[in-house]
Amino acid sequence: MPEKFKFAFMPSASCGGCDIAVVDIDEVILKVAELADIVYWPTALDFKDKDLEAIPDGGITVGFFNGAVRNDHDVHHAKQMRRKSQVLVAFGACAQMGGIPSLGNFWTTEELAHRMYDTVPSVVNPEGTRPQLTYDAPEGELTLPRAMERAYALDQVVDVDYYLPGCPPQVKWIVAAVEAVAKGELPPKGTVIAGTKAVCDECPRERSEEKQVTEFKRIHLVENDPEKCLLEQGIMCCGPATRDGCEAACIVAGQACRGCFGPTDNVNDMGAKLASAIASIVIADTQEEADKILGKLDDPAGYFYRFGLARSMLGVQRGERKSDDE
Amino acid sequence: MLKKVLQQMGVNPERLRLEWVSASEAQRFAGIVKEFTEQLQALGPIPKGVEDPAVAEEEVHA
Repeated sequence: MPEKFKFAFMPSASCGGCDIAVVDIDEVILKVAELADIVYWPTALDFKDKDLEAIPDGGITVGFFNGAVRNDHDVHHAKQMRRKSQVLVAFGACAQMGGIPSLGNFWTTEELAHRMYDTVPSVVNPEGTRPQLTYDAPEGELTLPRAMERAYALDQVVDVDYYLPGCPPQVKWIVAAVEAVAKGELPPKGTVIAGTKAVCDECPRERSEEKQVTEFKRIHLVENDPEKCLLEQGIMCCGPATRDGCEAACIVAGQACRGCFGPTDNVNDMGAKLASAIASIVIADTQEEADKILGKLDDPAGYFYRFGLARSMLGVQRGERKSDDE
Repeated sequence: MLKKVLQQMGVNPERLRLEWVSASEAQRFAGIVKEFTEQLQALGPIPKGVEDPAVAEEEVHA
């Protein structure tokens, strides 16, 4: 029997959903265990940093990295995983493009800390206590990772070979990736392992040729027609700019697409593409009318870059940003 | 909407302007371009924020 592959799963700034997705492949995990040894997976088993350090460079066949890169410890892990993995996969929306943690890039790290430790309604902290990065305990010095000024996508920190998109990645694409490794049929470097078209192409809802929206509504405030395109019903949906491969799972379940698979191959900036898609379906004769209709979108930048703010071409330019107090 | 997005992204919305000018309105076109150029020059370059590549260089690649 040929030598087994070696897989490693590294979580960073993530919610744990990506690790759950790995377990979600059900009995296929037994095939994975047949095919490969899992040499590092701290979420599932009792692995410590020293176990990863002990692996020689290139000793991992495929490293799966989930979560954004948010603090200096994540940077350390990202670099370690790159060195030790022959193939490095950005696993999930956060590793691929910053994900939800990168929405924090709208604010400075100090502003986020101020919100978290001072002004959240459930926080009582009159002395303004903050976590210390180092503490002299009787047993020795204890340290905490330092939050950086922003969240990064994995490939903004190290070289990445493949991307498995999604929040979390879907079982069928995880299986496809594992099978590709097993057969030694790896796609060209940089491939996003999912569909190549837009979610709209997979969406079973009916849509007319002419979208004409005169009012935007929040999805939880109206009953939507399950047969009809959500956008045509004035409900914000990220389908037009989002990569397919998910079989429009959210939309089939009655929710709008949130864009977790990221942009399609021919889209450079997802937010810009969505802004143009949304603006083009609004029917208005005057600027005032258009402003009124689009004004109903409370947080357009948040909608358009929900999973990909770290990757936006414009980037958050805090220099001209107004603070929340203004 | 774009102005709102720009504002959220930390870019002064005064840096964006949309006007419809016909091909026969040369004077008006020149006037608008001149006015907007002056406005942009008065605003100066966008101050560098954390998206400054130098920040990333220091945080991530040091």
